[in-house]
Amino acid sequence: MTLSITSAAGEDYILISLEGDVDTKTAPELLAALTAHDLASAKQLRLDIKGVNFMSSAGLRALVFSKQKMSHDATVYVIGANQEIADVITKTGLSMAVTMVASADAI
Amino acid sequence: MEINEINSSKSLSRIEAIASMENWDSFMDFIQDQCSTYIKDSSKSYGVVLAAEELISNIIRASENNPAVSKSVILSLYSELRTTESGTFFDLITHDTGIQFDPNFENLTVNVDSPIEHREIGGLGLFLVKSSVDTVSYEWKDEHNIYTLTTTL
Repeated sequence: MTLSITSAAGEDYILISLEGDVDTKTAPELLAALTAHDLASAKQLRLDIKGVNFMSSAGLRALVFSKQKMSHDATVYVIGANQEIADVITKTGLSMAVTMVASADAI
Repeated sequence: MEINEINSSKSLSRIEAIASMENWDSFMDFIQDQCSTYIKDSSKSYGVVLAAEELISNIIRASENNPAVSKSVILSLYSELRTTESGTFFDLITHDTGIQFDPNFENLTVNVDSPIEHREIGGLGLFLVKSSVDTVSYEWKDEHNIYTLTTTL
């Protein structure tokens, strides 16, 4: 399993795009990419996972970590989650903390 | 109590290695190969991979860099098909020689409605194990932790 990460910062948002699988082995790379940004000051985190096939609890923890580091009025967008990942985010209750959208156009 | 008699059981495949991140890809390749081969429902297949990934991650984490573990922990993975009067089942079974750890799946609960700021992250993984397969069981036998993940076919 491999994970490719690209990262960009807009005026008030951080965009992180992922390709591959987010599991125990690769999740630390995602955490490193997240902590490279000033999450506390960002209004939005956009996590584009259209290219992700699999996300384990290690990946979900990265989502929780991000949300906890951001201000209360900040929004975490999860873009393009496949059905299985969306189901997991929903059943763990994390859907209350993040906003899932099909594409960035919906933001 | 309902008792289902096993009409047939077929061992499919097996892998055994030291429970180490060095062998992570081998373990995951085995799981994904077995699930994609024998579980046609992609949602169920995903659930077994998700649950197994979490278990193996826990086993390796408990084995590596743990001063209470004096020698290498051996992790074995098995897959089998089992037919009973209730139907046909795919089992993914893990055996490890690590420290005894019963997650107490029967009584495991996670409040998924609690605000994220108050979440205890630790319970998330075991909750996913339990909720991603039809049944999960734990047994301590012959100095081995044995976890069995089962999904109906």
